[in-house]
Amino acid sequence: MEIKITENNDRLVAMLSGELDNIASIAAKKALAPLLEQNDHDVVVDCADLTYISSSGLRLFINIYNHQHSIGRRSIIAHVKDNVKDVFEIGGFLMLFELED
Amino acid sequence: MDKLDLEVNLEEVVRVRAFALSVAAEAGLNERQGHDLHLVCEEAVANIVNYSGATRMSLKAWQENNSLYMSFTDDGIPFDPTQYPTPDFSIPVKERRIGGLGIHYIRKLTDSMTYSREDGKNVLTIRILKVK
Repeated sequence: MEIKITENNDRLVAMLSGELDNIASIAAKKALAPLLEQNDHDVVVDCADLTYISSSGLRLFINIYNHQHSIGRRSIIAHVKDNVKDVFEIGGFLMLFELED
Repeated sequence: MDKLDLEVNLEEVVRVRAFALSVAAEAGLNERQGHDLHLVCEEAVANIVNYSGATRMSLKAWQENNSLYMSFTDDGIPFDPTQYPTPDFSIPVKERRIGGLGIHYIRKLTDSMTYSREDGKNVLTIRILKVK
C-alpha cells in the first residue's frame, strides 16, 4: 500500500496504490492524517491504483467524510475500479462521496 | 479439501489472502469472484479476531455441486452472524456501527451463509456458486 498526498489549488489529492486490508489500514491511517488536520481544502481520494479495500479501509473513508462534512468542504472519490466501487456501494458509501472519472 | 490453521491475530490476513486466491484459482472462479472471496475471508477472520475471544481458528475449502464452500471455525464465544441485522444506511454516518459491515459483505457477496455450533466451536460456512 502506498499513499501520496499532493496539493492542487484548493484540493488535496490522496493517491492510493495497492490493497487496503486490515494490516495496510494501520499505516494508511497515519499517512492520511494530514487530510484531517486541514480546514480549507476539498479532498480527492484517487483510487485509480487501489485494487482492494475491506471494511477496515472503509473506516478511513468515514473519517475523511466526517471531517470534510464538519468543515463544509467536498469529499470526492476519483477513478475508482469496478470491484472497489462495488465495495463502496454495498457499504452505503456512494451516497456520501462525489464520484469523478 | 484445503485447510488452513491460523493464529488469532490480524497479521494472519496475509495468509488468508493467499489461501483465498489459491482456492479461488483451483476452483476455477473468475477474477471478480476471487476478489470477493478474498474480501469475505478477510471480513470473517477479522470478526473472529476482533470479537470472538477465540484462541484458535481455521479455514476449510471444498467443492461440491458446482459451488465452492468455505468454512470458518473458531473456539470463541457463541455467535451466529446469520442472525445479525443488516446495517441501517438511512441513519447518519457518524452514528453507524462499522462493526456489522463485515457480516454485511459476507452476506452480500456469497450465495449462502450458514451457521452451526459444533463441539464448542462456531462454524460459519459460505457458498459461492461458480459462474460459467
